Amino acid sequence: MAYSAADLSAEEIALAAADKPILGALVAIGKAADAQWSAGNNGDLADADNTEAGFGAKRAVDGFPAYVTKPGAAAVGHTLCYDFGAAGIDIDAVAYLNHNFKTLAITALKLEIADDNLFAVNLITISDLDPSALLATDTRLIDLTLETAGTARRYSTVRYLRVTTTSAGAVIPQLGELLLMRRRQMRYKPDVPFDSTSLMSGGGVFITPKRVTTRYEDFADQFLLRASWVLDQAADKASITGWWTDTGSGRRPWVWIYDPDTTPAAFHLVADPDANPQLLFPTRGPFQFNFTLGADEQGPDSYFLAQE
Amino acid sequence: MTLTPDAAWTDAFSRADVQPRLLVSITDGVTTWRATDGPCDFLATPAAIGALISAAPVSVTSDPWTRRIQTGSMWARFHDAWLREIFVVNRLRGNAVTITLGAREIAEVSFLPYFKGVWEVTKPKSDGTITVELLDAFDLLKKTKIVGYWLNKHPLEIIEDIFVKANIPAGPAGLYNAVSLDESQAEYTDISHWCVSRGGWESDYFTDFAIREPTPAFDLVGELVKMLNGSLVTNEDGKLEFKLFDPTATAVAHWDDLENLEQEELDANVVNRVNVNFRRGSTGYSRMWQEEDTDSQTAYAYPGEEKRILDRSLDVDWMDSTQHQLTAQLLAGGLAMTVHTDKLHGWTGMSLAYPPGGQPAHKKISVARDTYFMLFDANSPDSFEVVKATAAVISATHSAAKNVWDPVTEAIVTESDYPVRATFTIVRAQLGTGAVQHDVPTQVVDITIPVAMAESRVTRFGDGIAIVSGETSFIEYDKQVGDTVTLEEASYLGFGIDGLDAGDGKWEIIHKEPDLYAKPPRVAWKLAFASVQAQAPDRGWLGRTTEVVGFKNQAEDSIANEDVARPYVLDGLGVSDGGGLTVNLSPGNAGNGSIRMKQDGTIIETVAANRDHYWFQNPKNGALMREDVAPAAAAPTAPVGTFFRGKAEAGGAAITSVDVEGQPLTAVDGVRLDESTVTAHEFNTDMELAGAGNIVWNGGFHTWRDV
Repeated sequence: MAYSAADLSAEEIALAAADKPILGALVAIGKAADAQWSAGNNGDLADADNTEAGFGAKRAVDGFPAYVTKPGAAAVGHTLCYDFGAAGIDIDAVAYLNHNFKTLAITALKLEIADDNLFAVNLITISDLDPSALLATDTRLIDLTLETAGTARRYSTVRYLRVTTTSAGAVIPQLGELLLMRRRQMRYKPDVPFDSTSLMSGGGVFITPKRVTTRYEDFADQFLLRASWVLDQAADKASITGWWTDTGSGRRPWVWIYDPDTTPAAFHLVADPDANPQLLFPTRGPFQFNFTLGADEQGPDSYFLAQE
Repeated sequence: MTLTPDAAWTDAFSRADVQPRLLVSITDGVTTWRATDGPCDFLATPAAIGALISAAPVSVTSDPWTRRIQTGSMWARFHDAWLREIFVVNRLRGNAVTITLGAREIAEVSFLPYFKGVWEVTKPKSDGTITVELLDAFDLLKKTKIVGYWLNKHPLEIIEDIFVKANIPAGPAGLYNAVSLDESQAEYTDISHWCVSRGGWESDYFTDFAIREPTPAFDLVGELVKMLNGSLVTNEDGKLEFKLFDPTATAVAHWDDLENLEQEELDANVVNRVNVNFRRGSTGYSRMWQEEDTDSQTAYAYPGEEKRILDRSLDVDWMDSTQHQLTAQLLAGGLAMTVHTDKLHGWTGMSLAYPPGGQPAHKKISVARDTYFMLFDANSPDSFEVVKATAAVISATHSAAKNVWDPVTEAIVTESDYPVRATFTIVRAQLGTGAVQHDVPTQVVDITIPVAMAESRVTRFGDGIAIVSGETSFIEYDKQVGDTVTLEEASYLGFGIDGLDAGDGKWEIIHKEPDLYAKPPRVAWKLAFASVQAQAPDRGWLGRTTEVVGFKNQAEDSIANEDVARPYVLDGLGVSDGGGLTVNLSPGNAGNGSIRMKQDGTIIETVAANRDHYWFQNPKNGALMREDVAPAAAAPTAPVGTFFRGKAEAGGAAITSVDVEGQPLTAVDGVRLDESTVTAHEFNTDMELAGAGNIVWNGGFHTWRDV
């Protein structure tokens, strides 16, 4: 099945421009039927597999930013290719977490889709970034406007997708997580009180009889999302339910973007810490219903936003 | 091994907030996979951050009495998402695994060893983790069974040889610290001359203590460590290392803020009599060295009780052939004695590195090291004496090669040039005994090691050994089992100690368990009081233990069942001229009671010219002894337990005559021995050797009784 594309709705675009939060479901986790690094920045899935042993390409879509993928040899161009199977995935945003693109002075970081594994049929570039110019250090990158002609679009049933890198010198890029998202746009900011920067550190505390305290830190600056809404439109319920489905019924990590217009790169990769995720819409009126969201930032802590 | 944290490690763990990190490396020799349990800022090469979820604490415990080591099971838990891809395409079992401990902000070079071993068992779980069981060198030792024999070697040498047999790798990347097993090191200067054996003759009827059946290497090493009174631990660098218990060692730390300090029950482990059993025969251990703390026995007596004896025994199977004979009378004032052994195995100061002078200096008997012999006179059992040897000259060796069955190669091995006779310079009347005259036959027993074992225990355990447990933060991680520390603790209670301070004595670390994943993270310790008493304990000696027995001679051929049994020739065993200055000793059979000795082939002896040569043989073990005297001189006395085998007179270049007249050809000598009772003091060695089964072993015997 070929991919299809449609512009985001005007409402979605307007709400994002008004800094209403976005719930970004990571639709690629566990969906890659095939994945590899290929040589050059125009590689495809028929090329020789250039992936470094022990750093498989699927690591970039496993939900764990700590486990990186990388090619086996340095070059000026690389291609990271994916086949997401016949069902494909729906994407409208992309982010990159735990990379070395700035350090390697990668000047072109492109996201491309096609309808064949040679990336020859209906090949388009839907994101084109210059990390060397955009970043000061290897911090997270995001692109909420996947497009070819200026308007943000949603691409459905995408089967073949690739990330290409270009640099002046021969380098070995590495990537911890390729966050391919299907967004759900919230209509409102969370109800107050809401803490948009709630942080937590944790570990053990050893206290001696003489009250000498040594704290053994397991993690620091983990973002805690505790949000609730009172919503009143069926479309919102349907949208959130769609998000729930795309996260594997709450089991997979997802992306929380609080200010998608002002600071889109200040997004958090979060996951539900509850062993039994729930989606609840308790009603509170003829049309109103509550929606509560709780999630903790995905570690380890060197990949917390607050520590970047 | 000493864990030596550098300044960066110490700074990181001295802070009020510590970010500890474990770094694990798995390698198959070609590829290395690395993972940490959290971000590390300065790794030499990349690692999967957070792929290591947790690792077990490395637990080591040393029993202060038996010196037996216990280690906890070791495992590491990994994130399935990281390990799965690696495991599917790589056979990880058996790969080397190293875990180091550091902190987030320090360089990898500052990390300290935490564990070293091998990957053994993989357990995937449904919670997204994979637990891997890891084995350290101790585990490898426990899983490996070996066979072997060792003759006249230092216990540390034998430990190392056991490691080799158990395929514990050596060298810088290996799993044991060879320097700690080198008896020439300064810390072993008092015991560098120790010598033990485990092996036997090829004779069918000698009690052979070679390890013929596959035996856990761990058990054998444990026996030797017990003898040495030290600790064999797997230190964090993964290497097996021996450490001698030294109550005088400088304390490595002073702990005055132990968390959760708990004292174990006091007085629960008082031992005021220590028995060291050795020289195992067919009916059990035939020799015991005993030391007592009589003050403790009196102090702990119940009302109306004269004394309360709390005894404990140590069994040693490495000194089975430590009994020998004086070759000549030793007067009460004599300062030299010549001792002859009919065994392949030697004794203290008699390593197999012969000829005389061939031993390195540290293996020789000297005035600087304790070497004790017990002399007991079979005809005067009241007059036993302990002497201290200060020098030795090996004066003879068995000239004929001896065949030993090697359980490793399952073949006969020829051993030669082992000491058979030595003259010792001695100091008389040691260890509370008096100097007396000793006539032939007098048995000489090497008690060097039993004395050391008993004394070290009774001086430490006489008032019980206090044990405390407690916890510290990881800043104390570098301390090791076997180290000594001092404590300060106001609540401590003990005999003579109301509240601990540094001056009250040192404590030996006998347990260490660092646990980074406990809540809170901590290092758990157990300490045993290490100071020993200054007073010399009372000593006692118990020989072949019979209290009051009735016995009859039970000679095989006796009609009346009243004659004394003796060793004798059944058939063959002749002596003939072998040409030149050689003598042929023919095959044949001998017996002694129910024991049979069989010699299959001809033994060819080369003899000295112009001497008369006499052969004696012990049917219990086939040991062949030769003595030569001046032509026409009086025949030498047969060593105890042997029979006269034959004689050859040698001229300048050829044998002039051979003779077997005098060979005993009957099982009894016609001398009646009346049925009677005998006390231990009247026990006669001849009676013992008159025939197997004559004397009844009394396993319940504890002490001499005055009669």
